[in-house]
Amino acid sequence: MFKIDIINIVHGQEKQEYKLTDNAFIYGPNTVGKTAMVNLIDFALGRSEGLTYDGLDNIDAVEMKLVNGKTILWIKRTYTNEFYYKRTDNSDYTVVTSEVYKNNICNILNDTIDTHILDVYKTVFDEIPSFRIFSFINFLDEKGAGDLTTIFTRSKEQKHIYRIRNIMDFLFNFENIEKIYENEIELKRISNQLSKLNSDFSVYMSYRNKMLSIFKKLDLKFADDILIDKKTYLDFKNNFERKPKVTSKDLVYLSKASFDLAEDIKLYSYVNIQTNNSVTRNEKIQNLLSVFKTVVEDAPQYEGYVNAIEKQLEEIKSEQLIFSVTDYVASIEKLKNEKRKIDMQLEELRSKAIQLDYNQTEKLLNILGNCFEVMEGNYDFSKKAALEETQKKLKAEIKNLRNSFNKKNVDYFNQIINSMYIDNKMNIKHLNEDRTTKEFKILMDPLRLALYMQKRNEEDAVEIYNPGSLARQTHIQIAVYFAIIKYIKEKFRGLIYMPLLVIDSADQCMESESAKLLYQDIIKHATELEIQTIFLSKDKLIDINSDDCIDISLGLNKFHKK
Amino acid sequence: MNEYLLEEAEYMDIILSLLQKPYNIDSLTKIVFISFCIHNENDLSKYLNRKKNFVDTFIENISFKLEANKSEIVSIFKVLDILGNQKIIDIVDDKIIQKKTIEFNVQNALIQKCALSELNAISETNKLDSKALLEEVIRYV
Repeated sequence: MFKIDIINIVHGQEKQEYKLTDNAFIYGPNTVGKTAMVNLIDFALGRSEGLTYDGLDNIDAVEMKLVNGKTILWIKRTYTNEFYYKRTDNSDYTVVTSEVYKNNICNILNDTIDTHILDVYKTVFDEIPSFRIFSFINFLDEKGAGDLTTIFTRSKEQKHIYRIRNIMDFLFNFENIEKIYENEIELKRISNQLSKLNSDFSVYMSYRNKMLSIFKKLDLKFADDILIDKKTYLDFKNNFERKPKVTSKDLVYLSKASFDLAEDIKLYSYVNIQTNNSVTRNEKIQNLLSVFKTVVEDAPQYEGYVNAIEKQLEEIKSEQLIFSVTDYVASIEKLKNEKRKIDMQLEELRSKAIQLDYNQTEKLLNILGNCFEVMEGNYDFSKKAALEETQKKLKAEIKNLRNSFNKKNVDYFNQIINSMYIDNKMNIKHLNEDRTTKEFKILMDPLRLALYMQKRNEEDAVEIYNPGSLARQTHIQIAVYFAIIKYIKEKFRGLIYMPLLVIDSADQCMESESAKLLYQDIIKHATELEIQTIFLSKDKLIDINSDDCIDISLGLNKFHKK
Repeated sequence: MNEYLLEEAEYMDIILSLLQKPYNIDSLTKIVFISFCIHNENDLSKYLNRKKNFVDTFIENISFKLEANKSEIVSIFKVLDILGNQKIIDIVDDKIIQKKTIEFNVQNALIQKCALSELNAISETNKLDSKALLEEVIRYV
């Protein structure tokens, strides 16, 4: 079984040693350094922050001896963030990078690494899953203890928020994650193919555009079909003859047509604006008519006069209808298209008007020849559309899979929590209450990382509620920490996590008898799961094995300057 | 006293003026809206400023007032009815045919002011035919 065997605080040549058992119980009054011990352990295990916690001054380095029953590993991290390790007690330390330092710790934690699981995690979340990413399951901090809206006390920290969400995805949605992994690999393959095709396509298009421009210059008909265009090119190259375009009009006619169309577009655009205005205008006419209608209602004897005015208003209104029935937008679009066609013909005629000398033509033909050579290469663009469609589908599927947790896994996890919390013979008040609550259940929301309770109320309806009592909440939280470790151990044997649970002052809110019973339960679960526990408490609980106890009443760090 | 009596008298003054020279308005539509605008004009100084044309300034009086003072239209019709009954005018559809001329001293301030200049708001508005005037009126309803 893995455990932290020794922790040494190093100051110059001096060392302060703490020898830890499988279930270490560290106690001492307030401000002696219990939380500092948590910081010290986390620091030595490679956290990103330095050793800045109050009371941890005058420390040059922290050493740790890690054992796993087969091998030992000494690790040392200095105050100035240098990392060392050694394999035997008597050898000298070797300086390494922080990555190698953490890798060495990984190696002692798990010798049956499942590379598939690690690969899946790495591919899906783009992060190497070392034991550090699971560090939030190793520490139940004093700050945040009993807060069921944030199951893991460290999940509130900025650096963990995103990562823990990923890990929950991974743990409770693994089947989907595996599918995501497969899809991601397929997506990568398709993207690579597409990127090659896209780059080919842009080369092809640049040559095609170059060819179009030369065809225009030579006044050849461009069909946008490589076979037809090649034939046109070869015919021209052989006899320098250009086929006259069937419906080619003269330059003056086309220029005038283009100008007329531009004028028409202007006119139609103006009429279009007028038509839009006429909509509000009709409403105003309606208002005026309603004014006269009221007048007639008040004084029906003047209906004749009103009719005369209304008649004129109706006439104006019907005149305007002519505007509103015409679809000017479509007409403008048609005119613009027509103008574009004529402008293209104009462009062709202009190029025709430019004299081409033999040398210039030869030069252009050579460039065209080069274009055909490149464009006749291996371009398979029929695949492009199909690949783009598959890529789109895969992306949608990945998005969908990411958003769906597997209910079966969440249910199983809830079952573990409930069994750890309630299936025991402890005589603790809050536990007795929960045992007698009808259909009491603890449920986890992996998306929000929150816990809530469920029961059947007096009206026989299922009720979701938040339980009271900090003692109960802390107890449930401890159960969750064990449950997640059990879940990982059972379902993800190949994952690298540290079988360690450091619990800081969780007994503060409990009576000593309850705390004692809870601690015994903690030891029971830890032994079953082969986890080392380090319990930090203000008071020494009764009936604790004396070998496990470490008294730090005189201060954790003897080098600390008071 | 009939609460509309004064209003009707004012309109009688306006309408008789419009029927006669220099305006000679012969359209019912024009009489209704021009007389309404004249009656509701209470700021003659606007016409001193030539930044905006007379017609717009004049017909702007329709804005909101027509909706709020519908009774004035009834007063206009009543005046026209009286004139018709007195055989002073004859109204056929939109056409007003003047049968008699009546000599009187106009009291309305705007008409008095307009009489001083050939180029004035009423004469400019009168240049519009009845449909064109309605178009202008619609803008301000």
